[in-house]
Amino acid sequence: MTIDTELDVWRREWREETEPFPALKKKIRRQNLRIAGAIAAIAACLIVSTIEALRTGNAFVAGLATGVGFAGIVQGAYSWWVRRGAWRPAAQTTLAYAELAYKRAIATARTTRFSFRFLVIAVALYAGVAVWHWKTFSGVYGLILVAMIAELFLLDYNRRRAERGLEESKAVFEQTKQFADAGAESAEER
Amino acid sequence: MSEHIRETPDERFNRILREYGPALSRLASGYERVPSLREELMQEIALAIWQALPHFRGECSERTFIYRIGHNRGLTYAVRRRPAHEPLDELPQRLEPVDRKPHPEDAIAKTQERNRLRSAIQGLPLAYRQVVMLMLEELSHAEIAEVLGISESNVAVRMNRARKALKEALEGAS
Repeated sequence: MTIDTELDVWRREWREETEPFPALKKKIRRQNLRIAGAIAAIAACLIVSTIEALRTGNAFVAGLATGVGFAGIVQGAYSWWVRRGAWRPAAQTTLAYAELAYKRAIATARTTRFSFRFLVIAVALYAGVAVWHWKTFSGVYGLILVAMIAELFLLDYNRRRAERGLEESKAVFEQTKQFADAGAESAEER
Repeated sequence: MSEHIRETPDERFNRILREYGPALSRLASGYERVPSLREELMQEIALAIWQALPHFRGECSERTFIYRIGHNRGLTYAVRRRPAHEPLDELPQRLEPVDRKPHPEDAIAKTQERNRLRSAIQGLPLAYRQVVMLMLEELSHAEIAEVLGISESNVAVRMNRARKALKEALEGAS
């Protein structure tokens, strides 16, 4: 049996230092909190605006409640629709996972782009209504406008991040595919 | 094997982390060099194992199954990762100034060797990096083929090229 000294040295060096594995619970808790937080925020907006609309009978608040509900449904449906075919890998291979990650990056980029455009229209409409009813426009409604504009900036930041992520995942997918193809060809030649 | 069947999901998961934790931690270091981000990746791998365990029906060995999850998660992470930005306080030791005087500190020299190898591996293209890491974990060609979902002959070809690339990277670093 041949002794592969070089490989043995590498193996020893590779295995010498190992960090302890972190606790899993922290991650699960954080992930659950994030999902619950997002759902709670949307639900709270919907519930508060609906209750306010019913309590005050104010047409403006009713319109707001309808808008929040409509936005939630449309964005949720769009997000689900663009993710079709990107739920699980086609096979348990590196290439399949790279492809899945690429598909997900496409879906994320499309969703954030859609949300951004949707919110731009919503802000424009809301601002239009605000100008139309400027005499009765109270501080709370002003705060809502400010919050919408702030969210617009946040979405713009997310949109740019998603676009960058898409470029990176595309590059990795293409690289993985290239390696897989080259590997298969070399194997065939042998 | 039979005692594994009697394990509760919790017991099984804890045993897997005990047995494979060090290897998975090294695997994570191949995908991410910043310690705090590496910890995130390790947690993601653990979470993926926890989620995948109920679906494991023994079609392959447990070892292959665990490495496959680890590498696929690592790959997904590498794809998602933002362009390299390393917080200054988290830069690996290899980037710290090295005192060239002959100190009796063998430990430092050893650490430098380790870091040199790790950084050379981190610099390899993904396809080579995965093969090298699995090779260093002493997986057979058949096991590597199963983990990566490629043929054994493809593993052999990739391994030769990866070794060559790693050697060149190490020579370039020294």
